[in-house]
Amino acid sequence: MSKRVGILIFPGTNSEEETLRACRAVGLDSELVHWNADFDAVRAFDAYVLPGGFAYEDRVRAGAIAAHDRLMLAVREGAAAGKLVLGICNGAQVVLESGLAPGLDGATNAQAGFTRNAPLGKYRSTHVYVKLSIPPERCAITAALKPGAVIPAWASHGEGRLAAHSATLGRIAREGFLAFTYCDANGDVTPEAIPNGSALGAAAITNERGNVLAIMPHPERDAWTFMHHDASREQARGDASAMLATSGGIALFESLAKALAR
Amino acid sequence: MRGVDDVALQAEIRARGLALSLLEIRQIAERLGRDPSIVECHAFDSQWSEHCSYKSSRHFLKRLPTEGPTVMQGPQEDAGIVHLGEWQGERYGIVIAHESHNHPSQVVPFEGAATGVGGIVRDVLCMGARVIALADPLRFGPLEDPHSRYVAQGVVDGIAAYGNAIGVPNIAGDVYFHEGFRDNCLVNVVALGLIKESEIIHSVAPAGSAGWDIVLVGKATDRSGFGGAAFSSLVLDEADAESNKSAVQVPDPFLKNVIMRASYHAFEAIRELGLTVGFKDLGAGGIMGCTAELAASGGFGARIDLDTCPTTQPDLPAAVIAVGETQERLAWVVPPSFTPRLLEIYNEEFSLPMIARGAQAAVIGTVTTEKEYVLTRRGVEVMRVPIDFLAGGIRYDRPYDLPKPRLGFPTHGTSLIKDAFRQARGEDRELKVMRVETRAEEISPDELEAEVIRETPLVSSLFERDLAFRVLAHGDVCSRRPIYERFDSVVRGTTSMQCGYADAGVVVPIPGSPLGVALSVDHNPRYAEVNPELAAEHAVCEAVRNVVAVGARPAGLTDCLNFGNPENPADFGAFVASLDGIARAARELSVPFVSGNVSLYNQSAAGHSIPPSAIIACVGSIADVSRTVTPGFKRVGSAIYYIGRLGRAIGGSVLAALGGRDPRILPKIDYEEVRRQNAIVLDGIASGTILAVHDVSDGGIFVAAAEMAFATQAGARIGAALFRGEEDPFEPCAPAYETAFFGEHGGFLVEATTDFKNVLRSHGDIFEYAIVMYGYTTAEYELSTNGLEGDPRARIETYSVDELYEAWSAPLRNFYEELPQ
Amino acid sequence: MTVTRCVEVALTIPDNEAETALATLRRLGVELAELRRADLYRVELDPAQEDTVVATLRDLETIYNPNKHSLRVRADGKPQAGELWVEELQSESRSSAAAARAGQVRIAGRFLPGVTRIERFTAWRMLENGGEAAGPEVVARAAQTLLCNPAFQKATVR
Repeated sequence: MSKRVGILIFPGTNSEEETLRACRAVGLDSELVHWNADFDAVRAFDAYVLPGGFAYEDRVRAGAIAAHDRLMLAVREGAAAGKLVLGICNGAQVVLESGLAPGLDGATNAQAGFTRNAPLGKYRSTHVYVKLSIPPERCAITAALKPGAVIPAWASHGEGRLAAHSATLGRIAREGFLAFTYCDANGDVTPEAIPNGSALGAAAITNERGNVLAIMPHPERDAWTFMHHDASREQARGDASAMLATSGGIALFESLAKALAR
Repeated sequence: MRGVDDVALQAEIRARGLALSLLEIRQIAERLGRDPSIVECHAFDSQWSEHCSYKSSRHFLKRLPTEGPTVMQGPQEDAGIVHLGEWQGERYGIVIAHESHNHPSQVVPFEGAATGVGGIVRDVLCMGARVIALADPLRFGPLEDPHSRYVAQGVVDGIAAYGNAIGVPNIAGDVYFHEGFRDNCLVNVVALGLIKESEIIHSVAPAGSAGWDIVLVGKATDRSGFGGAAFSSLVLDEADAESNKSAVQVPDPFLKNVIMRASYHAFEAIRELGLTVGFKDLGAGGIMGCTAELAASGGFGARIDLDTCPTTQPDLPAAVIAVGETQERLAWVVPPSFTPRLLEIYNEEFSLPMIARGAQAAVIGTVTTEKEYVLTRRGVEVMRVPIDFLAGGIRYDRPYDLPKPRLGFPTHGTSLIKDAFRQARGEDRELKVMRVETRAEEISPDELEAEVIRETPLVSSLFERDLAFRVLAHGDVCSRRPIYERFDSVVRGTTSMQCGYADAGVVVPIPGSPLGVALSVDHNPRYAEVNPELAAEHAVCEAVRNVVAVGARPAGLTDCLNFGNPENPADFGAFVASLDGIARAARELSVPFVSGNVSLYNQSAAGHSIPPSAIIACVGSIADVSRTVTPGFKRVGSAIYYIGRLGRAIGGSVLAALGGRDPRILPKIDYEEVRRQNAIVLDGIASGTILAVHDVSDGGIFVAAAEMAFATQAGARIGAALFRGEEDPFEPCAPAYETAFFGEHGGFLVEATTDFKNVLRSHGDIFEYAIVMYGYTTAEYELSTNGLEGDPRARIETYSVDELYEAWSAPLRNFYEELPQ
Repeated sequence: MTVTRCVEVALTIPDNEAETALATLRRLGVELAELRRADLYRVELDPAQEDTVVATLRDLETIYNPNKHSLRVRADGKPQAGELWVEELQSESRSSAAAARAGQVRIAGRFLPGVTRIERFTAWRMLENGGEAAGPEVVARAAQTLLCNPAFQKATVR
C-alpha cells in the first residue's frame, strides 16, 4: 500500500490547497486533515506536511499555539518513530516551536525559532532561491536531490529570521542541521540573497535523525512553469501542457515522494 | 414630532448622531402615520444614507453599459459576474466586486484599510464563489508630508495584515501620491471570485422561502461600528477624528479565514442537496440592512428577534444590535430542514466559538409573507415598517455644473478644425505636424495655432540628460516594490503574474486548466485635474489596455467613483461628466460594467474635494495561459515597436508635473485606434510574434522601455522614427524629443519577431503614421535614445540600465522610514 | 536626568490571544484562573518630555487604537507580582543605543523627543483562583511552557 501523507490544517492555515496540489502532483496519496479530525485517523498517516498560514493567528508567537495542538501530539509521536515531517513557512515555525528541529542532544524543547524579519520587522513576500547545504542523504526528505541543488521558492513571511543562542547556531551550522541557505539564481550564497536577516542565511533546518525538515520559503508557490519568471516560462510559451507542468520548486516534493516510496 | 418645530427637531436629530435630513424624517413619520421609534430612526438613517442608497448617484448609474456576451450577472447584487470560459463541461464565471474604504482609512489607516479588504471578500463569498484575488488602488497625499506618509504606511500595513492572513493573493493595484489626497486618502479594493455558473448563490430570499430561517454567521455583535454608514456620509473634521474612531469596525482576518473555509464547506453541502438558498454579507446597516435587503429583493418581509443575535455584552441597545456594523458577519436564508447541518458546519466542524469569543452561527429570524420588516427585543416590537419603503431608499436630483470645456475637452469629429487649421497655415511642414498630432482638440483654431507655434521652434530647451532620472524617480513612476512586497501575491499557488510584475495581475485559478484571469486597475488623478471626463475615459482605456498587454480579452469592468460633495454643483458635475466618460469609453471598447461603487463626500474639513477619481478595474479572460506575455525583454536583437500614436499633448503627464510646458491639453482618445491597437497586440500575442509588451502610461515610452529592461538582462536602443512601410520607413516626426519619449501617448511598446510585420499588415494601413518602429534590443545593458534622423535635434543619449534602475528603485526604498523632522 | 515610565496598552475588547494562551496553558497543566495581556513600552526619558512622548504613542494607531485599547502610564519599571514580561532578544539594541546617543529614538518611525531608551515587552498578568496574583513558580512555569521561547526571547519576572 502506498504511504499516506496528512496535510494538517490548523485554524488560520492558508496554504493547504497548493501544498495538497504539490503533494498529489508527485503522486503522493495525500489528504487534508482538519484540526477537529479523529485522533487515531491522524496517527495513521505515514508522513505529515505542515503548510503555511497563520495557525491560531500566530497568537503568543508564530507557531507557538499550534506546536501544542492536539494534532501535534500525533506528529511528535510519528517523528519519534521516524516518520517524515515537512514544515513549510508557518509549518516550519510550528516545527521549531515544538522542538522537532533541531533537537540537539536529543532535546525535545524549542532550541531555536523563526522570528521577526530584520531589519524592517515586517512581512515580506519576495521570490528567492535556496541551496541545499548538507549532503542530500543527511535528510531523508532531501535525499533524492543533487548535492548543492538550487530550488526556487517564495519567501512570504513576517517571521522567518532564524534566531538562537550563538552556541546553538554554531552547532546548527557545523553539525549538519542547516539544510538550505538562501542563495541567488546562480546558486551563490550572498548576504544580499537573504530576504529576512536570517542567522546563517538559513532557509531550512533539519533534525538529528534527518526525518524532519522545517523550510521557511514556499517551494510549492513556484512549482509549476506558469509561476516561473525565468527562461523556462518563455520556453513553454504556446504549449499549454508544458506551461501547466510541474517544475522548479516541485523538486523538493519529488524528493519527499521518493523517500516515501523507499 | 409633528408638534416640534424644525429647529428643535434638527437639534434632536443631530444630538442622536443621525444624519437624516428634516425632510427625510418628516417623510418617514408621514408614511408610518406616527413618530418613528429610536430603532427605526437609526434604521432609516443607515438605509437612506448615501452609502447605502446611492440617493444622489443611483439614477446616473443607469447610463453605464451593463450588457454583453461576457456578462453572467450584471450589477444587481454585491458583485457582478463575467464569463471566464469552459472547462470539463462546466461554464466558469469570475465574480468581481469593487469598493472603497476611504473615510475610515483616513482616520484609522491600519484598521480602516483592513476592514475594507474584509468587506469586499464577503461580497464575493456570498455569491457562492471561491475568493481568488485582490487588488488595491490607493491614493495618498504627498510622501513629503509626514501625515500622508503615516496614512500610507498604515493603509499598506492594514491591507497586508488582512489579505495575507485570509490567504487571498493580492495581484494588482496602483498607487498615486498627490496633493489632492492630503486630507482624504482613497483606499479602494477589488476582489475576484471563481464560480461555476450552475452554482451561483444569490443575495435574495428565494421563491417559496416564506417561513425559512434567517441564520446569522460570524463575529458576535458588539458596539464597534455603530453609525458607520452615516459616518461615511459625513465630512471629515480633524477635531471629530477621535470621536469618529468609534464608528470604525474591528476586523478579524483570522476569524474570516475560518468563516471562508467553513462557507466553502457549506456551499458543497448545499450543492449536494440541490438547495436554492440566499446568502448575503453584512455591511452598512448591519443585521437590519442585510436581512431587509435579502427579504425585500425576494418580495418577502422578515421578522428578526434581536434577543437571539449573539452579542458580546447582554445590555446592548436594540439600535446597536440592529444597525451596528460589527465586522465578519454574513446571513443565510435556508430551509429549516437544512439549518441544523449549517449550524453544525460553522459551530462544530469549524468551531467558530473557539476561534473568537461569541463567534457562531445562530438562527435570528424568519422570512415572512407580510411585506413588513419587524424587529423585536425582549418580546416587544421595536420596529415595524413597510419593507419596500425601508429598502427602497430615496432619491435626490441634485443640481450640477458640468466642468467647463477646458482645452482638451474631447470632441468627436474634428476634421472641421483640421481644415480650419490647414487654411490658416497651409504650409507643408505644419501639415505633417498635424498628421502626427492626436486629432485636434476642441479649441479654437487660433488657440491651436498658437499652441503649434509655441512648439514650432523645434529646439529642445527643456531636455537635459537628467530628465530621464527625474521621471523615473517621480512618485507616480518609481518602483512600488517596497509596497507590493508587503502583500502576499502568491498564496493559493495559482499566481502567474504577481502584483507589480506586469501590467495586469494573472492567476490560473482552476488546477489543470489553462484558463487564466487578468486584473488591472487604473485612473490618473493628474489627468483628472485637467479634465475629469477625459481622465475617466483614459482610465477605462488604460485598464483595458493593461489586461490586453498580458494577452487577456477584456471581459468586464467595475468602477469605484470617488468624488467630492454631491451637494456642491461643481463636484457633482465632475461626477456626472466622469460617469459619461466611463460610459462612453466602455461602449466604444465594448466592455460592460458588471458592478461598482460610489463614494461621495471625499473632501477635507476645509471643503477641498479630492481630484475626481473614477477608478476602474478591468477583468480579462485568458483562454490559454501559455499564450500570455510578460513585460521583460526576451532576446537580444529583436525589434521594438511602439503601437500607438505619438502626440504632442503632455497635459497631466509626469513630464508636465516636472515643470515641462503644460498646455493643459490631455492626450486625446481615438477609439478606433485604441480598438486597433488592442487587436494588434492580442493578435501578436496569440500568434507568438510578440515577445514582450508593456503599456505606455506614466512617464511615457522611455519609462516603458526602461521597465522592460529592468525585468531582464537585455538593453535596448530606441529611436523616434516613423514606420511607413518598408519603402519609406523614416519620416521626421514632429514632437520634440522629450515629448516623444516622456509624453504619455497611450498604446503599447512591444518586443517582436520579424513575423510581427505580417500581423501589422493584416490590420491595414491606418497606422501609417501611428506605428513607430522604435528600435531593437541590445546585448549591452544600456538604454539608448535616438533623436530623429534628419532632425536637427538628433542626438543619442545612452544610459546604463543599472543607473536607471537605481533611480527608479530608490524613492520608495525607505517607505517605512519617517522623514527627519 | 531621566526617569523610567511604562506605557501599558491593553485591549478593551475580548482578548482572543490571551484566551487561547490561557486554554493552552491549562491543557499543559499550568493552573491559572485568569490571564491578561498588555503591550508595554518601557521608556527612559527626560521628564519634561513625558506628555509629548505619551501623546506621540497615543497618536500611533498601530500602538494605540481607542476603538479597542486602553492606555495607562505606569511609574514602575519592572514586573509586578504575577507579571511576566517577555521581550525579544535582538542585535538591534546596539543600534538603538547608538540612536539614543544621537538623540534619535524612534518608534514606528516616529521620533520620540527626550527619550534615551525604549524597550518593548509583552506583559502577561496571571491570576490564581480568588483573584490574587499568581506566585513566582507558576509565572515561571507559564513562561517556560508557552509564553517565552528562550532561543530568542527573554522573560523577566518580579
